[in-house]
Amino acid sequence: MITTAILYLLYGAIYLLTSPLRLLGDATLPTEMSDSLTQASHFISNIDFIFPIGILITIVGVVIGIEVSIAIYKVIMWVIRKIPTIS
Amino acid sequence: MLELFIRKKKIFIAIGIVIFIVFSYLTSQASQYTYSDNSPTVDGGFSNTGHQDFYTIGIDSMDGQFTSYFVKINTTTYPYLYFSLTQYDDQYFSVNATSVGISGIKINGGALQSNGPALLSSDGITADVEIVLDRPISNFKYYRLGFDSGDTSRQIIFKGYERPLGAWNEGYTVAHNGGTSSTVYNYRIYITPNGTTYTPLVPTMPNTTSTGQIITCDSNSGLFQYGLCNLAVYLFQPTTDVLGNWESLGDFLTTKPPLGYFYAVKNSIVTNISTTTTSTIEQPVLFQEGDIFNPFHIMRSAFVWILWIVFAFWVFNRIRHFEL
Repeated sequence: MITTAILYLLYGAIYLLTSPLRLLGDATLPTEMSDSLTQASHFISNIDFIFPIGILITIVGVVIGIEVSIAIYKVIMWVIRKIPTIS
Repeated sequence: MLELFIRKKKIFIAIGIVIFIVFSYLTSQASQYTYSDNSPTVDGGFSNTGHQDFYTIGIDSMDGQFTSYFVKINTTTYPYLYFSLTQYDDQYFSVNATSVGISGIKINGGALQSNGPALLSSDGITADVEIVLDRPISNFKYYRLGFDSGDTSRQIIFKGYERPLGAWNEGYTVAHNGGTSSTVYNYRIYITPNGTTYTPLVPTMPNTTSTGQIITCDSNSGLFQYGLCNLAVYLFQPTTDVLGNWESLGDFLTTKPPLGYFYAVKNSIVTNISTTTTSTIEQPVLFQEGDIFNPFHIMRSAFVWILWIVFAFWVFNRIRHFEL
C-alpha cells in the first residue's frame, strides 16, 4: 500500500511534468543521420569488443539529459520569477 | 511549497535519490521472484551453463497444439522442433546445435529429433546442448531462444520466464552477452514428465510463492510470521498496475523527444555495431568471446566498471554542488 501509493504519486507528478511531450510525435532520426551513424558504426565496431561503446553512449545521453532538464527547470523558474508578486 | 523546495532542495533531492534506490531495490526484488503471467506452471527450462549470465526459462506450452504444459517430441504434427535464436525485431538467427547427452533425443542440423524409441509423455529429459552461432549477435540485447515448430510460420512455442542478472522481462526472451559467429553457448534443457514441476535454479524467497506479480505468504510458517509476511506484502509490495504504469512511462520517455533522440542514436549505433562485419581487428583465435580468460573480455569488463564508476562519481559531485 505504501509503496504503491508513493509510486502512484511519483508517477502522477512525472506524468504531469511530461504531459507536454505527449503532444509531440515519436522521435525518429532523419535518413541522412541514420546513414551516417551506420557508416560511423563500421569504424566504432573495431573497438567495441574491447571498449563498451553502447554504455558510453548511454552514460553521455543520461548526463546530457540531466543537464538539459536542469537547464529547462532554470528557464521555467526564471519565467516564474518574472511574474509580479512572485519572488 | 515552491519556496520550500528551493530552500531545501538538497534535502528533497537526497530524499528523492533514497526513494529511487529503495524502489529500485524493491522492484528488482519483486521481479526476481516473479514469474511471467503466462507461466503459472513451469515444466522445464533452459539453464545457461557456459556463461556468466545466469537465467532459466520455463516451458509452459510445448506440445503440438501449443496448449498443454508438456512437450511431446516426435508428434505427428511436429515430428521435430527447431532451436531458434530470434532477435527482438524478429530477425531470424539460425543456430547449430550439437551433442546432446541423453538417449532418446538428439540434435541434428539444428533440429531436435527423436533418436531411438519415441519419447513418452512420462519421460523426463535433461539434455546438455551446445549451440554454435552462425553470425554475431548484439551485446546485452534480448533474444528469443527456444524451440519453434519448424513450419513456415516458425511460431515460437517456448514461453516462460527468465532472470538475466536480476532483471525481469517478458517471457521467452533471453539476454545474451554478445557473441561472434563462432561463439559456443552451452545450455541445459529440462523437460520434465507431465505433472512434475520444474524447480528453477534460482533463489526463492523463503515462505512465499509467486504467481504473476503477487507474492503469497506461506500459511504454514506460523501465525506471527504469516501475519508479518502478509503485512509486509500489503505495505510494500507494489501492485502490477503501478509497475505497469512505470514501465509504460519508461517506454514513453524513450520514444518521445528529447530523450527519444538519444535512444534512437544509441540504438542505431549499437545495432549497427552488432551487425557490421567490416571489423579489421580480429581477436586471437586462442580465445572465444565470453571466455572469462579472454583478455579482451577482461578489459571490456574493466572499462564497463570504470565507466559506471565515473558516472556515479559525476552524479555524486553534481548533487554535492547542485545549485538552482
